[in-house]
Amino acid sequence: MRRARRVPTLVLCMALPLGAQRPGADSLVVRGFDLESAQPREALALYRRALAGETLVPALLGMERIFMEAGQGDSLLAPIEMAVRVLPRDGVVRAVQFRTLAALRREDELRIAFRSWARAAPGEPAPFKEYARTLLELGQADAADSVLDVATRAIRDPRDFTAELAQVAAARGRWADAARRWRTALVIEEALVPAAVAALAQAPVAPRDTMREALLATPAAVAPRRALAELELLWGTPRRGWSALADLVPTQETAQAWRSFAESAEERGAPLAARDAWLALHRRQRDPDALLRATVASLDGGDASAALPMAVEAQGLLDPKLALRDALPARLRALAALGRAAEASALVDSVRPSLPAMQLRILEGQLAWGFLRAGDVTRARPLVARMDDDEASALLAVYDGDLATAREKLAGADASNTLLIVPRTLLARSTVRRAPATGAALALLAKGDSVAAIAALEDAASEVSDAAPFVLALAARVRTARGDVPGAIAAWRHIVTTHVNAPEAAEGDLAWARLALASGDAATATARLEHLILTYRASALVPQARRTLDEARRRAGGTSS
Amino acid sequence: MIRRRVNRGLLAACAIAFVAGARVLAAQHLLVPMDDEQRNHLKAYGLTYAALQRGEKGEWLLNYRGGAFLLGDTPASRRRAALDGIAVAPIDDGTLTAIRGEMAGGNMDAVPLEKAPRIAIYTPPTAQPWDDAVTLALDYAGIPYTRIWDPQVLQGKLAEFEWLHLFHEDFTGQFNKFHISYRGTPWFVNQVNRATADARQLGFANVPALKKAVAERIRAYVENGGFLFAMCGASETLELALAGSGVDIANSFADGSPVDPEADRRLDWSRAFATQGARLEPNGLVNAMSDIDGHQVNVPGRRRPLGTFTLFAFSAKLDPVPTMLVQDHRFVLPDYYGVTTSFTRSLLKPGTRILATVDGAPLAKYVHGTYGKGAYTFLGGHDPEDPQHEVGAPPTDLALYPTSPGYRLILNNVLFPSAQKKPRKT
Repeated sequence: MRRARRVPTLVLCMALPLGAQRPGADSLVVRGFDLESAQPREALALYRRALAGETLVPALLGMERIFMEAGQGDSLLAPIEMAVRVLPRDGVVRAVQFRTLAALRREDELRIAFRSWARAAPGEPAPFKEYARTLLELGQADAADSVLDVATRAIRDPRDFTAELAQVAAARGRWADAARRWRTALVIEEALVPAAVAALAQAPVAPRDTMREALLATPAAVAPRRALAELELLWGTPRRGWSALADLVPTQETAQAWRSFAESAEERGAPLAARDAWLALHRRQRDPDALLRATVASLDGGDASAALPMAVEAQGLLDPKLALRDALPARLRALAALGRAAEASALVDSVRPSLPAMQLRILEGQLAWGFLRAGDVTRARPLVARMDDDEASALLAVYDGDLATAREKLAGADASNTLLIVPRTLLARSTVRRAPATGAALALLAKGDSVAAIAALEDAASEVSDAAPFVLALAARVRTARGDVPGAIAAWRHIVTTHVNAPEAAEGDLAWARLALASGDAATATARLEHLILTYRASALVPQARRTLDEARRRAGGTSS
Repeated sequence: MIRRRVNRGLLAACAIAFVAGARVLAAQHLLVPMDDEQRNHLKAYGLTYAALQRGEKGEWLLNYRGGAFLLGDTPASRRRAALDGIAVAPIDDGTLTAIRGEMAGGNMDAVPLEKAPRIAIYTPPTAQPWDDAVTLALDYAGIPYTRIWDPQVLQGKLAEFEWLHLFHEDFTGQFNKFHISYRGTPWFVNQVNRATADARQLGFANVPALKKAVAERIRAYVENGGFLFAMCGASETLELALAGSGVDIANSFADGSPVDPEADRRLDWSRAFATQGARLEPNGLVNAMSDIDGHQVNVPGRRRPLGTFTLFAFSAKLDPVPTMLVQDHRFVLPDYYGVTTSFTRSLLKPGTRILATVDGAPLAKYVHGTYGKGAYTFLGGHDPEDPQHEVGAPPTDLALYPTSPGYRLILNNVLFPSAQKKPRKT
């Protein structure tokens, strides 16, 4: 019903200016439109009076809206019959007729109406198209297919029906065929991209490769590629979406497609695909704004190392004021994310005199986070003191070992900051108020001094006895990451055997098993994984353990002989 | 429809649980549901196989909850179910009696599972640049098997196994006509050289002659009571090799002589398992073997697009054998290509049972029949979870498809010889 109402409203919008040339009847339609929602009876009376001449069509559409809203579609049949007598070839009148008969499920009359229209407009594709569309709306894809089959033989140019045939193929689940037909239709009519995307989006995973082949077929055309790119975004494969567009010959049309894809990818939370599109646009058109958006998208996607050179380039290309306002923060953000806080600090110092106070505070905030990320407590402290940021204060307090203050600061803070995951867990697991050794160990970890951090964490575990397995697991993870296999196995074994009920015990089993497997000890790996699965049944690690267990069994001899 | 789940509330009192997660109840049986409650259908076959291998008995509850298994409630089965993430429900005798009552009233039946079959997979000793769906399925399910190859077949080793699987092998000896696309690639050159050397070592003039001899041993194996399961190109080429026993059906690149121009007329289809009256593809540069395959994936002008295929519903009480082979939690499945994807229905022998048809086409996807004292099953296509599987593509990771309905069809065949079959009543 909603769909049926949308079309008449659009047509009314187009029809009113035309009618405005004839005072009288058209004013009836305008007044009727104004009264539709509040006084539908009065509106209906006005539409009845306007049901002639040039206002016949808008008046009929107005009546359709009122009767359909009231669930009185059958009351519309007489006005439709009259309108059809006057304008038997009019597409809008016939569309109202088809919609009404379909809504009333009068399928025999619908068929008769189609035949009557086809007779009245011989050689015209419109009756076939409208009837096929209506049948599709009724869920009769096979019948729609039959109608189009007749149409392609009856009408001189069968290409007229490509889009409808594509719709039917999609409705029947013939996805590869639908994709091929949509490609043909899109090459003819680019405006059909949204319709193609809507029709193909529901395709299951299995036929998608064939559909991709169809839409990527040579010669490359922009519209089918645009449709595929949008589909890939909907299917959760945004990088493939960009691949569909990336190799198009750069033209103005291509550039528009890239821009449109980049915006769409941003909206759909695919920043790295958006980044690639913005960057290509910049390379094609030397567009600093696009480059800046690429930089931000890259940072949003977690790729700071790619973002940094882009930010530097954007800073050089943009107007100096804009560079300072937009590109510099992006560059600082990239440096902070990469742990290059000292560089970021020098950068801020170099532009400090020309920065407004407000912007300087913002940049210093980013700088503070850079130092905190790098575990540089000394340089972070004065900057944090000037900030009104509970999260930064809390992290600094953790590094200082002041867990009580940190707990207080984090009470109402946003939980999305990834730098705070470890401190938050520590605070949740421990009731200790002061733990300077643990804080210092975490700062060493942030500095990247892994050897010192391991020793410090293992020493500090006793300081926070209620969170000891958590702190020990941090050390064990660092040992694992460093490739210290004997040390890591010993550390995990200690956790598994002495902290049996801790959440880290399951992780310990899995890590121990993986290390054993990597060392060729499939038997130990199997034993640890079986222990994990059978002991920590509710652990989120069980699926990973099962997968690793399959691998361990294969290594241990497999099933074949 | 006739296999829809019946009275799902029956087991409400004994909710499905991962066994390790459930308290040890005073249950006598473990019900392994195979409907959508099951989280790992493929490993459930391995669980059942392992129980049989330990000498325990089981039952296959055809059409009951997707083709559930009934096992004894033993610590070993519970442990394995827990380790592999298989949903099972401990049930007592009372509940089982209720289930049997329910089954008696519907299109369902219980088939005893007696013995774990000894499985042979016919596969070359060296790695191939494609995966083998059956090997993948068996490895994933944890079902043991033995690899055999031409020398073992010719030495009569097939008699040691109840179940034989063939996959991608070309029994016409033409290497799947891959010379068209891969003639210069190292793997193909090695394959041809190795096969040619093997043929000579075993006393045959060329590879087609060797493969015909192997095909004949396989035919005799089935005739004497063996179970054969063939997928992909092995099914079609085995038929051609058997029918073409005394005819030159191989192109000159394989045996040095062209295909017998009278080959089609001279083929003896009485020797083949499932098909008859097919026509060979005599052109060595057309990558198809015959018109048995309805999809012709490697022939651009003939390639039929993929759609879906539908499993046929049989009467569990009257037709337990085909019913076993189509046990699944889905009945319409997405199709997938192989060098042989489907079987032209008009070329099937009258005694061949069609287990699944390709929707909207005169093609069968999955067929079964008896031959002598044994039975054969052919399943078209290469990999149920990789519809376009190509040479060189990485093997499918079944851990990502633990509930694959397509792979279930393969594993149905593995357990099928375990079943103590009742005589067909029709």
